[in-house]
Amino acid sequence: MKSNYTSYPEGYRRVMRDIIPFYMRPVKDMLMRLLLTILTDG
Amino acid sequence: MNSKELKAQRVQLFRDAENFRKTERIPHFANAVTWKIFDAGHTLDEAMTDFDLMEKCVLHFLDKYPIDAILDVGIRNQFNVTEAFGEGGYYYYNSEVIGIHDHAHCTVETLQEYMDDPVRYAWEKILPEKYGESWEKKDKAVWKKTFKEYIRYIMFILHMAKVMDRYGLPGLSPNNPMKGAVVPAVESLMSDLLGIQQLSVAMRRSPDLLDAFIERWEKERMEPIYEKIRASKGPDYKYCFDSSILMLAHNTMNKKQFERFYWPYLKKLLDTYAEKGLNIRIFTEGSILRFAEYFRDYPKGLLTFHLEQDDPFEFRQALPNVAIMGGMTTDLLSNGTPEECVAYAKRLCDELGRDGGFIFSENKMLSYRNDARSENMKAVCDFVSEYRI
Repeated sequence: MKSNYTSYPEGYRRVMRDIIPFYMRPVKDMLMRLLLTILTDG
Repeated sequence: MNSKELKAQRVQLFRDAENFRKTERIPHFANAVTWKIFDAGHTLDEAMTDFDLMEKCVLHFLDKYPIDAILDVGIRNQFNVTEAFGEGGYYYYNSEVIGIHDHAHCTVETLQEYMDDPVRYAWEKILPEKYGESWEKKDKAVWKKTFKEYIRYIMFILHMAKVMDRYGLPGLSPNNPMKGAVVPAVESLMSDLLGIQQLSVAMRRSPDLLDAFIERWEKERMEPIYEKIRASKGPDYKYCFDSSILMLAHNTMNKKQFERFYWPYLKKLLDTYAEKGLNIRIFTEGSILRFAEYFRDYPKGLLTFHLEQDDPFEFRQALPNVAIMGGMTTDLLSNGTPEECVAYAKRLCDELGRDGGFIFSENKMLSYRNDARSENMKAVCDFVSEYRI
C-alpha cells in the first residue's frame, strides 16, 4: 500500500509533524535537512 | 598537564607550524579512518553499525599511537541511518572494503530545479530514484526507526567529542557534519550533483549551464559563508585550523577549465579568509602541483595543503609560502620496514619542518587493512612524538 509520506510537500510535512518529537521542534528544519543529506548521500 | 592544557598546547603547535614559526617538535595529524578497525582486530562489517565496537577501535588506536590530532574518531562512514531507511545506497561496505559508487542526483539540465528547492528535489527525485519501488512504502514506522538511528548517531558524535577532549585532542576545524562544510560548487557537482562523468562532459558541452549554476551557488550558498568569515574575530584556537576544504574536482580539469569553473570562486574564498588572517587546510586529493602558480602570491600562514600524490619536497620548491601537511606515504607504511619508515619520517621532519611550515601526516586516509602495518605505524608515531629538531 502506498505510504502517506511520499508526496511533496504533504509527505514532507507529515514527517516533520509525526516523526520529530515536540521538544526538538525549534531545530526540526535543521534536523530534517541533515537527515535528508544522509539519506541522499548528499 | 591535564587534558585541557594538552589540547591547548597541541593547538598552539599546529598553529605555529601553519604559520611557519619554528616548533620544538613536529605535530602529527593522524589521517586515520577505518584502518583503526583492522588494527584493533576487527572487520569493517563488525564495526560500521556498532557504536560500542567503533569506540573500542578508536580507543585502541589512541592508546597505542601517540599523535596530536586525528581526522576521524569513528563518526565517518556511518551506516545505521541509511540501513534503517532500507536497502539502497551509494556507499557500500563488506568485511574488508568500503567504497562509493559514482552517482548523480541531477543532470546538467535539472541543476536549476535542484537549486530552486533542494528539499522538494530530494523528495520527488533523489529518494524515489534511490529507493525505487520501496520509496512508496516508506511509512511512519520506517521514518520513525530512521529518525531514532539518526539521533543515536548525533549522540555518538557528541560522545566522541568528549572522548577527544579526554585525550586532549583538538578538532581539525569548525567544519563538521553538524555545522556544514565549505564546499565549492564544482566539488558538489563532482561528488554528488553530476558525478565525475557528467561533470567532465558538461564542462565541454554545456559550459554555460555550469556557469549559471555556479553563479547561483555562489550567491545562495557561498555568500552567507563569506559573510560569516568577514564577521569572524580571527583564528579560533579551539581547533587546529579555521577551515578545512577538500579539493578533488581540479583533477578532472585542464587549466582553461580550472580558470573558468574553479579558480575565480576559490580565489574569492581564499581572499576572504586572508582578510581575516585565518589558517586554512586544503586536502588536495590527487595532485595540485599542476596548479601551483595560482597559489604563489598568498602570504605564509594562510594555506596548508594536505598533499596526497604530490612529492612534498618538490611541492616545497614550487610553493614555499604554503605549509605542508602529509608526507608519509601509505605505500611505505604498508611495504617498508620500521627502520625505513622512521628514516623517511626523519627526512620529512628535517627537510620540511626545520623552520615551521610542516605538519606530519599520512598522505592518504588510512582506510584499508593494507594501508599500513601496525609496527610501521607505531615506529613512526613514536619517532615523530619524541623527535626534537
